[in-house]
Amino acid sequence: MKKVTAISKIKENSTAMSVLMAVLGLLCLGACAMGLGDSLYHSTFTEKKEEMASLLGTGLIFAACAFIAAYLFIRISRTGTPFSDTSVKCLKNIAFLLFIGSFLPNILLSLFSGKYETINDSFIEISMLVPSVIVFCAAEAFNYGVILQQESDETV
Amino acid sequence: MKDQTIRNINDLGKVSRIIIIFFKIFAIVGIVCSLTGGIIAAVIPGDSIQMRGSAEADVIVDLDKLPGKVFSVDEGSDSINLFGTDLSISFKENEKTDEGTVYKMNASAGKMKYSHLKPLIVLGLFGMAVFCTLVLIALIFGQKLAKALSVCDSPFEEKVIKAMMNFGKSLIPMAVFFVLLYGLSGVGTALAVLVVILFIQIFKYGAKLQQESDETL
Repeated sequence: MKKVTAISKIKENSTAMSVLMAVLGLLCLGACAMGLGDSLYHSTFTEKKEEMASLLGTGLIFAACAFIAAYLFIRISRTGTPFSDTSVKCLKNIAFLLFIGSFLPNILLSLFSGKYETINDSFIEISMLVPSVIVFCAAEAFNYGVILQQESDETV
Repeated sequence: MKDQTIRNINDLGKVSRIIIIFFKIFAIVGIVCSLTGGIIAAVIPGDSIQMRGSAEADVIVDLDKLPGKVFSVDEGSDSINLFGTDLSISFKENEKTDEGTVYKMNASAGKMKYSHLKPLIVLGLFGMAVFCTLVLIALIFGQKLAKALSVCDSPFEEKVIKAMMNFGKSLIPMAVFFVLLYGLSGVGTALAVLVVILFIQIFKYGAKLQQESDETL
């Protein structure tokens, strides 16, 4: 595959992916707002502390990650260069947010109930921690890609 | 800077390998447990467990506060055949109070045998075994990718891209399973697969840059 073909493919797919990520982010925000609104309207917030902590902690983190990813893909689709400092920064931010998301619901639950409590009897949610490590790996690979891209640009 | 970045990638690959080993153990335990459970559930005689029961509830309706044209209460009884058992529900007016009209709702289930629920339980347990197997397959390919990253000189080597492609492909059956099982809520997994596929394309572009860099040197 030629370099130009690879760039045009990346551009096309990034545009589609940015739309999907933006929609996902909006859905996550909508779910959080609806859940919170419903709980406050029916005055069941104190009864549903666990659900609320999970919804706010995980939902907001997912929404933030989806919006950052949408921004990243928009930039890639505009510039056609996936390896840039912005991409690395975005990926590191997503990895950091996922890491925070692995324990944020438990912190929120402890704040809501006024004592130390955890969801699923574990302080760190492994299913959020693993994607965080994977995204951090990808960020490091992108960091190396930035060096190669700079070398390529300088050669041209 | 370049060497440091490669070292970081190698270290992250090693860490990922260790994490994946733990998850593989969990997946294997999951397969063994669900298969054993499924076999036991299939072997248990259908009439060994039986259940019957009833429930009662008061429904208080203040018809003055409700729009009469839209809302009306129908009294009566009905029976449903659920999992081979007769489930009957009745709804009758009981008394009138200050709060509104009190309706008595009675529900009773006839003799429910284990054999009625057996196919559902066996299917659920074997389904769980299939899911754990799909996860294990994805983990095996994930471990290969982590291994390739832990020893690579560049993340854009052919070996790494091949391992990444295989990992992406191994996620497809899992995404299909999630979408079939959870419907719209499984779309998140499908989206993760799409992101991996896009990353493969980006890594292919990285391989081109790597080739250019090697040729320049």
